[in-house]
Amino acid sequence: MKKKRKAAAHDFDATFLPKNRREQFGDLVKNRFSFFLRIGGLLLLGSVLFLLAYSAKYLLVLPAAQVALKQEDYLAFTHTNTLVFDGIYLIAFLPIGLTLGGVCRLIRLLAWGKGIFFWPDFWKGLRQNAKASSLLALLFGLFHGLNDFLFLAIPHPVFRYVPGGLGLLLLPLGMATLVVASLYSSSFVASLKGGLLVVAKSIGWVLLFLLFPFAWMTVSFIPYPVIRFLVDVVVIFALTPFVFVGWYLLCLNELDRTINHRDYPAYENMGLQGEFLKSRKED
Amino acid sequence: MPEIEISHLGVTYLHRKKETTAIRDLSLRIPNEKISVVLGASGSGKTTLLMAILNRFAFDGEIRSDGVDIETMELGQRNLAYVSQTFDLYPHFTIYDNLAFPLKTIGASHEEIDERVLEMADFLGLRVCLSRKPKDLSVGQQQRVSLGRALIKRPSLLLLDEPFSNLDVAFRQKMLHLLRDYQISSQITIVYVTHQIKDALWVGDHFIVLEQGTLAFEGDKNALFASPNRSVRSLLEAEEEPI
Repeated sequence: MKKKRKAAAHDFDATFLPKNRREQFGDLVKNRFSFFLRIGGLLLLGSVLFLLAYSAKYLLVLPAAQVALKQEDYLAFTHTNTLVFDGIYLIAFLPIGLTLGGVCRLIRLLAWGKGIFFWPDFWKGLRQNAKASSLLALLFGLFHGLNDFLFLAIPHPVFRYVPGGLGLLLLPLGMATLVVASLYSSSFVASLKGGLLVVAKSIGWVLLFLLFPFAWMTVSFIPYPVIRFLVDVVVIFALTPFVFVGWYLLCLNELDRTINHRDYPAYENMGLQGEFLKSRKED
Repeated sequence: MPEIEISHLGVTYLHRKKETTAIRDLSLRIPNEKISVVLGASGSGKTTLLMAILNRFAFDGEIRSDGVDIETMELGQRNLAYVSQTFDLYPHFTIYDNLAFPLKTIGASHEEIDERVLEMADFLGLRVCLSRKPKDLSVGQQQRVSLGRALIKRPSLLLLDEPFSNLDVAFRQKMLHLLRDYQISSQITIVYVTHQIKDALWVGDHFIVLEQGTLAFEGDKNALFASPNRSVRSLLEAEEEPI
């Protein structure tokens, strides 16, 4: 039997394209779902070192120490152990940062409606954004270590969470800087300024975005390390791609209205209805 | 661009356990860098002729491409493309990926793929659709993608088996214009099978009329109109919507 061909009733033209980045997000989720899964796979791959270190800490070292050490020695050991593993995490965050750099290029091409050669473009993006992404990963690792140190140093049961909370507020700036660095070939400081601009201009969305890391942080309250590990894997694979693509489009939206509108009009609204309607007007 | 010479072609196949002769002792020449149109009623052997040129099955006689027996040639060596009515696109690929696919299979560089896909998309008016999936496009647009996928490798021989017959007159006209433009700019050899005489007259340089597996006519447009052959006359007199 002849297969029924799926086709639209009308020609696809520019008016069917998303009008803005918010619509584009919905459109991508609907039409390019597999792309999100592939991004999730990449992020999981980039997190392998971190997940290994994490599981070594909570599934091997600490349980073994708990059995071998006395109660008071165990507490001192956990402190030292935390700081030692922070050093390991510092290295483990590097592949995560580099992966995000590669993913940024993929999302940029996706948002701009360009052709994507998945692995070659990922590697290209990883190389192009390596400087900014590794620097940001290093800064994140240092903040993470500092936060753990302060957490151990502050005895108050509530206040000890304050440095971590404040540190998380810097996360949007770092992520916006990475997006800016993936779009323009500029210095790290210039990308940081661009990131600041994005965060300042879309503070409401930034606060909404912050719900994600804050919600993720609550995973650390789960008393069972195996469940914590599994939840982390699921979050990295299944949730982070959507949040990150959403974040990227949010940044792109702000940059379209500011930097692109002023300095790079060819990039403004690229991949959206506006790009084609603009070129139609120019014709 | 290849010139195809067909000598004493005979094709017989089993149909419901009965031997059926689709083409009998057919000899003709398909000139290079021209659009040759193959006309004829249903069952006259038009598609079988294309299949034989594609070397899809065993046949009697000989088909030569620029003097070389096609049975001694690898398909890749022949640089040909084929488009049929059933233009199944890869549904999970974007239009960009559908167009890029033939180039990926021959190992073209990513820069070259990108350049040629954009060029083809512009030529076919598909730029706006590149990031979409086939289901978002109309039948006419999907047919353009199918044609683009065939042309993107820059074949020297393009075989078209009634690819536009599902389209309405306006779309068909658009597609024929595109085909004509492409043939003029790239000077490829095209064999176009159709039963729509007005399309054929508009697009063709060289005409082949088949009748029950044999050659009823071969020649240019003037000769076609002057031909006293009964099949040709009935084709020319057939009523058709204007193009």
